[in-house]
Amino acid sequence: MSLVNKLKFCINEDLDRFSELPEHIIHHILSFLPIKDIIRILSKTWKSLSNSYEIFLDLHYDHNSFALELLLDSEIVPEIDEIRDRFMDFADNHLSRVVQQQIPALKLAVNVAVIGSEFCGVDQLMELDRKAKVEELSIFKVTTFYEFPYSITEDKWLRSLTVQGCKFTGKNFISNDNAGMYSSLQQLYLSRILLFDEEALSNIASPRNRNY
Amino acid sequence: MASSSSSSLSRVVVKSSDNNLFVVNKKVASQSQLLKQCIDNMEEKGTNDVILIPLSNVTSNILTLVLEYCEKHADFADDDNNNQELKQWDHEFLKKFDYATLNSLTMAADYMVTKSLLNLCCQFIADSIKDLTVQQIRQIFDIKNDFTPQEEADIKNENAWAFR
Repeated sequence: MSLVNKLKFCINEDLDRFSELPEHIIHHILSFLPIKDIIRILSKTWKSLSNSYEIFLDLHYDHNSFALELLLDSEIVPEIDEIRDRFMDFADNHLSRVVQQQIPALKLAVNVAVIGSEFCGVDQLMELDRKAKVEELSIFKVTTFYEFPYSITEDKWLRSLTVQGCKFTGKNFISNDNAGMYSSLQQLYLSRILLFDEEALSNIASPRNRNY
Repeated sequence: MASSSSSSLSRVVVKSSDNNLFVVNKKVASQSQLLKQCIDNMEEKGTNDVILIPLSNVTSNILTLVLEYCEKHADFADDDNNNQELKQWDHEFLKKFDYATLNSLTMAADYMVTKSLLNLCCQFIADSIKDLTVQQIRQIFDIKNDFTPQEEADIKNENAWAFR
């Protein structure tokens, strides 16, 4: 084998076919994969890429710890309503950024202590969650019961759902002809919930879903 | 060339990186946002001449495939995206290729801004590597492990749950 041929051979052998793809295309491919696979593949294959690819393993918006930090930081004690608004703004802004930059999140937990019946902030947050790639979602709600937003179960990436302090009324139910709905949900944990009738749960806990 | 009052092109000529010419009708070309943009620009200028669009990044092999896809999808352009026949065709279309071709096709779809083809390719690649072991993925894509053993161990410990 001539030197040139040999050289060519070496180059070809070293050619990293998948890495040949530009980074934005690899990101696009990864967007179709479950987070576990993304981590498995990235961490073992592309050093450069795994540094640039952001994944949230645990995203937690906690009303109580937010309030505590706020109280410790500020000289004048803010009103309860103000704390709530600022918490909602903070969570909303942060999750918006996550959605916009298409950063996947393995776990997302939302702890809200909504005072009164001001749920629009939570609704907005749940709407954002639906646009994000989240695999394990926990909603904890203290004081008054929050009406469970059925639309979040439409999310094809959602594998595990934990709900506490919500009411299931069956209202705002999405029709079942939306193919693929609930197909990804494997685990469902419910506690301290208000159930209006059996119907209200039946579609979430379909036979396809296990371990609930 | 005869000129009509309203300027409208019916065909364009696309040139591959290896200098082969492809005559493409407008409806097919419009599947690519890049080609569509070129056509729109020319029409705005009021040109009735056949325009030549050089694609310096796409070889004729790959361009043939992209155009085959565009032709099929132009036929279904008025249908909704959920057409089962088209979905079946898409799948059969991609199944034929090896990973090298698939990668080139993906890059061409990206370059020519054919979003549905780009999505299709990326989904197809993702599906095909989803259930493979890291070892198999490395083999298929010829990926060299660029981690040091220490780095590899650290990552494995951090993300132990992600490894079977």
